[in-house]
Amino acid sequence: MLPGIDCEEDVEPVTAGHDPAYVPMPQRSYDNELSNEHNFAPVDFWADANVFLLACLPRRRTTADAGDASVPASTRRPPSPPPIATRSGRSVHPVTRLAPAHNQVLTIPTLKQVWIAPALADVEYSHNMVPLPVHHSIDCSTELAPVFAQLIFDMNCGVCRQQFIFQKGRKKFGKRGDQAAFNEFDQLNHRNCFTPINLSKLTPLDKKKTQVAVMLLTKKKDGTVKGCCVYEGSRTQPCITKEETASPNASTEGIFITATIDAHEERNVMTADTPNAFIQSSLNHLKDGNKNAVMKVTGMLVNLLVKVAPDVY
Amino acid sequence: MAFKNGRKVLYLQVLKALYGMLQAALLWYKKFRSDLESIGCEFNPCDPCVANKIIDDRQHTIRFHVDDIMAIHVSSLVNDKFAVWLNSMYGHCGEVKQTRSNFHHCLAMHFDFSHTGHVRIHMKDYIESMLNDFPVQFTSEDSVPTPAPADLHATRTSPKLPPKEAEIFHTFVAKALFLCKRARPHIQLAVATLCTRVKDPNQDDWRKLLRLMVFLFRNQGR
Repeated sequence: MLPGIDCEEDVEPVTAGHDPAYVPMPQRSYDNELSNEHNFAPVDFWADANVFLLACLPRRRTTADAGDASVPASTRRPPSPPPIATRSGRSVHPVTRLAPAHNQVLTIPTLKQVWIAPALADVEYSHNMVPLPVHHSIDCSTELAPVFAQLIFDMNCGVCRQQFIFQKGRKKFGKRGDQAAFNEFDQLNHRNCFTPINLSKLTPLDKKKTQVAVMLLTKKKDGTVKGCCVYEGSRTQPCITKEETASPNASTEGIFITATIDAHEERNVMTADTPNAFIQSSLNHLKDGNKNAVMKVTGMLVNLLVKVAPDVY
Repeated sequence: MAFKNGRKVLYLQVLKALYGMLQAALLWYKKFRSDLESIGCEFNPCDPCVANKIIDDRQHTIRFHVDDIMAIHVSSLVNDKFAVWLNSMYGHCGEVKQTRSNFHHCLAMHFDFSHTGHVRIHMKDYIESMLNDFPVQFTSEDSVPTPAPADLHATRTSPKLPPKEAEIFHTFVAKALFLCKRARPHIQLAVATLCTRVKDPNQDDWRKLLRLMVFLFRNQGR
């Protein structure tokens, strides 16, 4: 038993092979998942004065449909929230709105402001969520409300950040993607991270070792698009031994021990974070065989790089 | 510039370590180590990421993990000078951000030196985000019964988890593994057991993970 959990003992310890009466818990059937029935159950929703979202989720399946033993209604459910009180006075069948309407001022909610009522007892899974096995003691209906709240919060606050390769990012971000890639190349060029090389100077082996430059585009929390030029080093693994790549790290135990000594001796502590650490180290320290790391830029990225420094490239 | 299959190709010789290069971390370590040695720091023979220097008869200790640096000295002036040195050496790509208070964030852990003579190391925000991301949300009254059978050596059979749920299981075991190697070493036993089940988890294993998550939920404030 894990420390700190004062839970009940397993009422019927299941030991297959020892207990002939043991019947494994039946797997939930998801056959009814694809049913076209959508019961739009009335949903209670409460938030504070800045109500931004009202949810009405399609009902995918009920506990009775699932073919499993019904989940007992939770006796630990928190008390029902107050009824909806929107500014317009509407209280039932609200419209789901994830994006602000035209000229609507949208207040981004904090997690505390978004709260979906546990009255969503019959809504089990949203259309995008993977059904989870129900073989624990927690009522799945109550557990889903905070999941939705978190999901909505993430979508609005941009927590779900995703990286796109340049081609896809361009389609998504348009000119902002081009500008982000341009800025990244401009920085790298300014820091002398690479120089053009004549193809005729490369040996066939060098050409084989050449790796593609990948431009990744990310949308940051503040809405700006950031570009990041990455050398595709994973394919160079066969050429490089682990001794040449493995770097030491601080041991966790060492940090704990020294931090304890620091506290005991009341020392002054400073932490610092070095920006763009890797770019500050030169490849000259590498062995001769790896000095000539060659990278190739293709397609639209070439145009951007030429635009950055026409006289160099 | 060359053309290959009708596409423009530009070959560039890389002069500095770019993100994605396998040697980048080692190159940075070598550079930072040589720079520290040039100012008189001596590296600990047992821990290659700890450097010491005697300043004003007291030890100045510098610990670093790639680009995260933690420097300690009795006198704050020594740390001030060290911060200036860091900026002069590595500040040309952006200012070296420094934290000078009783609360520090290093290696995903929070160090709280606010109580004199004590340090409190915790990962509250990591656990909170882990619990928020977990598909099951817990309440303070939730409990998961022990998954241990009467005979600990008995082989239990249980239906396998579907692939997507097995993926969720794998994700959260990996998160718990990171957690147990940092500020929560007391969950190592449970995590070690769960780690052996990530390839082919069943519902029993899921219950074990739930029990661990409930434990983290109840103790997240500690």
